[in-house]
Amino acid sequence: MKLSGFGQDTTLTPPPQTEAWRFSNVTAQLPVELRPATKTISNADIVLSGATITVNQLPSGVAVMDIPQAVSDQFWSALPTYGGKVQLKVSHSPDRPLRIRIARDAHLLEEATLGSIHIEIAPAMKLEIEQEITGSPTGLTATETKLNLGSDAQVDHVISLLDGPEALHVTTFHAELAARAHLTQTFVAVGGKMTRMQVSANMNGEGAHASLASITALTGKSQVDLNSKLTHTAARTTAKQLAKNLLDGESKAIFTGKVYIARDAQQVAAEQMNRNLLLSKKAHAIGQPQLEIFADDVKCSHGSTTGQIEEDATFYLLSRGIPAERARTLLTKAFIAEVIHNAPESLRGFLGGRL
Amino acid sequence: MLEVKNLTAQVEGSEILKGINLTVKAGEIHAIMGPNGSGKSTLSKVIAGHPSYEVTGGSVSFDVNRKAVDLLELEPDVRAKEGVFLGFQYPVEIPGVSNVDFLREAFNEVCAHQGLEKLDDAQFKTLVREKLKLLDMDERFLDRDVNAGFSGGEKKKNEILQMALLNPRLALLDETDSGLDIDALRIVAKGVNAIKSRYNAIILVTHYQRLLDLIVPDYVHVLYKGRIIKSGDKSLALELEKKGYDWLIAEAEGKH
Repeated sequence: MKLSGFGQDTTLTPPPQTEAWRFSNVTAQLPVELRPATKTISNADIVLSGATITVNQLPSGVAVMDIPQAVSDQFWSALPTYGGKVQLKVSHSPDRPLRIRIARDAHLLEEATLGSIHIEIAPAMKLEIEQEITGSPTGLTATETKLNLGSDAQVDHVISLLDGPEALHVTTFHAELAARAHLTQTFVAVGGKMTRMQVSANMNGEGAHASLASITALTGKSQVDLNSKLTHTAARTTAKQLAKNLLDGESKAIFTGKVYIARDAQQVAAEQMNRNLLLSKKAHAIGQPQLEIFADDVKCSHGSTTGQIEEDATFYLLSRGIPAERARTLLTKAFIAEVIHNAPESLRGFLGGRL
Repeated sequence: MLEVKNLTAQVEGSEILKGINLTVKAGEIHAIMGPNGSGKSTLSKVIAGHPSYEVTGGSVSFDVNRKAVDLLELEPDVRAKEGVFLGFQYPVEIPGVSNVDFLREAFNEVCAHQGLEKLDDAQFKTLVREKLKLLDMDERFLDRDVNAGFSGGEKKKNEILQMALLNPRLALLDETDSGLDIDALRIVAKGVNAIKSRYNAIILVTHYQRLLDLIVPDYVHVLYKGRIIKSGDKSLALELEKKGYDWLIAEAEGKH
């Protein structure tokens, strides 16, 4: 695949299909050549569009850093680094959320948005991030957002992702957590043709905690493949993950969640849950929670459920005068609410109106 | 106001109601008693329109604006809007929907249908507070999710709270007394008695006389194997309390 107009022209060879990608054969759909999508203007703090990162007014305590970045030899990790890149350091807790916008204006599959955003949060600092990945009818998006939380740092990250019906999207969210760092990450996604979300968190210091929740709403022939990995390498770390899918039409959702607990990571508590609500007969969900535990004193739970709206709950609402269509809407909203509640109250408004 | 004629109904192919006849007038309280599995809950669910029950024969007519309408023709939400209320034996938990949103939504739907003005949030809160007081319920109930994590008693109080708000003309209370301790039972009965007027009617489905001491019925019916085998006044319930159902069942089976 040829990259033209991304700084230097280059040719990358897409990798062969592997087991971890067996449900999302994005490589088979890649165009022969990629060009940056049209640049868009936005007043968010950080704007990525096409291959350009624009830094507007940053909240106080946040600054751009210039740290050399290693380029991965792995195709999907390397691809975002050919686009816009920014590294931020949070040295004081800002008084407002950091607003990141990945704005895509693509009308052809060849038009790509590539970029990488790294944020380092100094010990004991607090950061709220509102990240918006706005719609484009088509095009390829390959981005990564990496967070590095110092000890006792706290990050609340809300992400809204909106893809058009023909869009291809590979996005990575990764977090490193030092001792007692605390992360909440809440995703609301409306999927396109094929979206691959790779979400991971490493609990490296004692007492680190990550709470991840996601809801994807799919219609038509959309497909979202969420691949997550929670790695506990330190003792007394905790993690919670709730992955929900709301599936209509002929859409398909895949959840592969791995919880890895190293041998020395004792007294870890990890919870992982995948819930799918099917709104149509042709929608399809695959849930694959996986545990890899090498420590012996841990508390772990995981599961995957798939179902339809309960008849009893519907009848209960009907019996109070609420019409069938409205009952369905309320019960669907209720399904979503649990995910939204993972975010602190001040950031829920950002997510609330997205679905 | 309610006329049930020769009603038969089945669930998953087995016939539960085998010809029910029941007439209820405005201002009356009817108690339906009977051994387990006699069809008591089915009768109230069929009247409210639960989709799992299939009506195979008979009719249910209900007065709307002094005209008898065929209740079985109406969708369950329309029945509710016309003033039919089912107090559930097992109220459903709906995590993710707050009680206050649920109550307001139901209240406004019913008001809109009956041509009454909707209330704004503040007006609705005032109304709800008044009803909460009637049932000795804490205001915190409003912000909790519908029935989620409620105790048995709290769920039943929540049913009566809904009844108090929706002000139905016909309330079917399906074993509202089960799972209540004596204090909660008193509060629930007080709530029901406060809502009761000469314009509405109540059908109580119950196993126990203790509820009927507090909500005194005008008529008592005994349901057995999908038929009403005996009707009487409140003294019938007292007699059942003393003698059980066996004598009635023997009498009924002797007739067949």
